[in-house]
Amino acid sequence: MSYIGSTPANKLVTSSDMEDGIVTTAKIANDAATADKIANAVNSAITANTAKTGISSAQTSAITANTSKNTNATHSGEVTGSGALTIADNVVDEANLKVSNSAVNGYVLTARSGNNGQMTWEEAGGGDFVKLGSTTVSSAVASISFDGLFSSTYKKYQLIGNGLLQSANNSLCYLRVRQSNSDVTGSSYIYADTMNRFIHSGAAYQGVGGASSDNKIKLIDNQSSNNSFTTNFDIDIYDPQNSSRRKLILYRSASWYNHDGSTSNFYWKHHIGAATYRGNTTAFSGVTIYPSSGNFTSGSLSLYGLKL
Amino acid sequence: MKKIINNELIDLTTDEVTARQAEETQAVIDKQAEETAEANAITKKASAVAKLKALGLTDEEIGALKI
Repeated sequence: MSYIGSTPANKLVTSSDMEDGIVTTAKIANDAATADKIANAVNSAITANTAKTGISSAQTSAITANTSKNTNATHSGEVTGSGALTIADNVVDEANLKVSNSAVNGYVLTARSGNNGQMTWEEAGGGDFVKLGSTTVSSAVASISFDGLFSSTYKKYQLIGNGLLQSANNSLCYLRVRQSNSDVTGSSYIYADTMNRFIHSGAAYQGVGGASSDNKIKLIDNQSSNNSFTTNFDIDIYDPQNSSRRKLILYRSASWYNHDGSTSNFYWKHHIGAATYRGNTTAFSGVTIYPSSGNFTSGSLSLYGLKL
Repeated sequence: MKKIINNELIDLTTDEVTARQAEETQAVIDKQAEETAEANAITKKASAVAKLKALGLTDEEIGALKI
C-alpha cells in the first residue's frame, strides 16, 4: 500500500478493531485450538462423557434414560434368552459355585458367612446315632474291647456284634465293663436272662437264669465254631459315664450251636437279658467281649453312640 | 495270645494269659454245671407231666398249665 508522506506507524489490532463473528474456520490453523481455547463447560462434559457428541439427540436421550438396551442377542447354553436371561435347568454344578475350598468326596456344603463365597465344604457333623468305633477280626484274639469312647455327647451306646466266630465249639460269650481303662473282674455283676432254644429235631426249651455275684455277664451260651453258624448280638449300655448310680445293660443275642459238626444238626438259641455291675457307681470307660475259651477268629464289633 | 482294644492288636501280658487260662478252666466247669441243671430240669418236667397224666389230666389240660 502506498502512502503520501511518511509511512504510518504499525498499530496492533485489538478485538475492538474486529467485528463479531468474522473469524472463519479457515482462519484457524488445523490442530491449533487447544483445550484452553474451548469453554470449560465443554471440557468438563467431554471428561465426564456426558456430552455424547457425534450421535443424534434421540440417541443421547436414550443413552441417558438407559431405555433402549432392553434386548440382547439370543443366548444359548447354560444361560439362555434374549431379554430376561435364565439359567437353564440342570446345569449348575460344583464348578459354578463360589466356595471357600475345594470339594472333598463325602463332604457337605455348609453355610459359613465369614468365608469366601459364604460356603465351605465340610465333613458332615455328627447326628443323633453315630458310629464311634469298629473292629473287624482278622486274626485270633482272646478279647475285643472299646475304651475311652464314652463321652457326655451321648447318653446311650449300642454295641453290635456281627458274624462273630470263635475257635472253640460250644463256647460261651461274656461281657465285662471297663473302669479307668481296665476290665472290671470283681464278682459284683448281676444279670437276669431268658434263653429260648429250638433243636433241629423240633424240641423247644426255655430257661430262665442269671447270677447275682458273677465276675462277668453271660451273653450267650453254645456258640458254634462252624463258619455257617455265627454269633450276633445287640447290647445297649445306658448312661455309662454316670458316676452316681449303677448303669443298666440290656442285651439280645442269637447264635447257633452244632454239637456234632453237621449243619443239619443244630441248636438255635436266643438270649435276652438285663445286667449291671453293682460293685460301685464309677463311670464305665468301656466294655470287653470275650469267649469262654479259645479266641474270636472272625466277625466284627461296632460301637455306636445315641443322643437322647 | 492277643487282644484288641480300639481296633489295636495287643499282646496279653503274662499275668493276663495266666488269668485267661484259669477262666477257661472255670468256664468248662460252669458250663457242665449248667448243662447238668438243664438236663435235670427236663427230666423233672417229664416226670411231672407223667404224674399229672396218671392223675387223669389230658395233654391239653397239662399244656394249659404251661409247665
